[in-house]
Amino acid sequence: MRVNFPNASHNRKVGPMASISLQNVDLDFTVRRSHVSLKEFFVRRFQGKPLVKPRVVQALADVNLDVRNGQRIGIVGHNGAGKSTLLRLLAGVYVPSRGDVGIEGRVSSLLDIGLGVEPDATGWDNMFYRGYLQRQTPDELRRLSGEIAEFSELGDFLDLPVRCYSSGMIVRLMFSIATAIEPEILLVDEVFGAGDIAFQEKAIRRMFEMVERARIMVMASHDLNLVRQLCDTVVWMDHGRVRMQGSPDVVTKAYEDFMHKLSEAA
Amino acid sequence: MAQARSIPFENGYLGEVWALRYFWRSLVQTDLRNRYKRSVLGVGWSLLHPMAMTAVICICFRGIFDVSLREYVPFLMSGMAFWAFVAGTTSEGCNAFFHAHGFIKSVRVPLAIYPLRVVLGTMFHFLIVLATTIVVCGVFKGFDGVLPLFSLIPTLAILMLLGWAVATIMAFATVHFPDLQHISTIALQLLFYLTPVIYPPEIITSQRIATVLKLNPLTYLLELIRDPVLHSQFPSASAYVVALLLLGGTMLGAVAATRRCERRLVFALL
Repeated sequence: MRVNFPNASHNRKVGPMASISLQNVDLDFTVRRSHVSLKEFFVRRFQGKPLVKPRVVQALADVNLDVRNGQRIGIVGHNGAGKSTLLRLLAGVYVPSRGDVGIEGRVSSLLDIGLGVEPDATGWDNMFYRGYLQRQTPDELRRLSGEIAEFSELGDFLDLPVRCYSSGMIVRLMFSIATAIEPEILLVDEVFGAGDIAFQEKAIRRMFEMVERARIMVMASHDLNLVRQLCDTVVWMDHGRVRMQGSPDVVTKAYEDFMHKLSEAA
Repeated sequence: MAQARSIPFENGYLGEVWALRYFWRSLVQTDLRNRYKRSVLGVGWSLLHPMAMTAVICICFRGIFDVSLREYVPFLMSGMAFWAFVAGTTSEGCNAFFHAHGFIKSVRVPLAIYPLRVVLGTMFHFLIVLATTIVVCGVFKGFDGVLPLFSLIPTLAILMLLGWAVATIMAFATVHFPDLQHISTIALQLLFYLTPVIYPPEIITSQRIATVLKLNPLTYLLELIRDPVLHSQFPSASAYVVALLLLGGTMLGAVAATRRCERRLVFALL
């Protein structure tokens, strides 16, 4: 297995060339039926018996994906098809069980709402956490914070702890931060549904702007209209495999037909 | 499964920890702020707590340990400060990854920053109480020499690294064996009495317990703090040797745990 996450600061010097390449990527989740107790662990070790056999769930199977500068990828698929898993793999949170992952460019992600925020900290604090995670310095962030706050339109709510926020408000905050510094690769997972229409439109405009500056965007969504509008390539995931990959109209059409057939059969 | 190999970080593991310094620094700040949010005394509580404990134990045990208050109060305060650091680092270390699961599942950073966050918090409280102990000691009995106090600087560095390593080991271990959190509470309780925190080691007459105290590395760590503060003398070489051996061992353990478990940890938290 070979995995490359080359130097992000190095990339910035070379220029904003971003790319993603997945080759024959498998990802297995190993789920233990329950947690192993310390006693069990030592007793089994001592007896030379294996621990409770873990259940292996294949979350991604033989995924191949090549994304070049400026591409906007939409990922569609039924619940549990592996969309979010794929995004987390791209974010570097998951390592593949087999296969090669190559990612060039600084990744900024907007995966799960509410994950990656400190609920007890205020909106401002969380803005700074996320910014620091994107390798920004306090000075840079102080300069950007006004702009981020303005884009999020959260106003005085930023002084409240994030646990008081609705999911739509968290999306506003997180999206504003994730896109404030022109990420080279932006990963977005089905979060727009939580924002209101006005914010959705604004967010989509910003994503268009970003992509024009030759960056990569990968988004997972059930909103096929949004996908057709934003993406130039669509990947249809089915049970952890790439079922189809191609132009938005063709793939979303095939996916829609398939889903209709499913619901009729049911 | 051939996925044990970890992905190299951009600037090396510790370089990445350093690159994220603003991140963990602000997490520590928020932890400290949240802990005292809406309390009138604020950080004063972390001072008052060991002082109150000192007062209570003084009242209870003064008759038992035949020592003067002048000697005993600074002795006890230094012990309580140290113990709060040990216990806090261990028990909060257990939860370091659970507490940060949201970050762990959404961004890729060296996991060592989460135990680091724990130890920086407990170290902050330790420093406050230690500084107070030094002042109390100065008032109660004065210092024969100030120079030995400078030996606290390397001592604090050792404690800091040791705490980081212990918190890292506990954090990884607890994710795989959740029972450890409860076991460690009991173990700490036991260890508390097997370490000369509240009683002077000289009063122990039982040969067996004296041996245990001698074998307990925490006894030597306490010496590193008490010798310069209470007795105005440099710690013995043997105390340094034990402390460094302990540090080396736990750091090896922490590095091994990180190497082995870091990339798969996220799956255990799912």
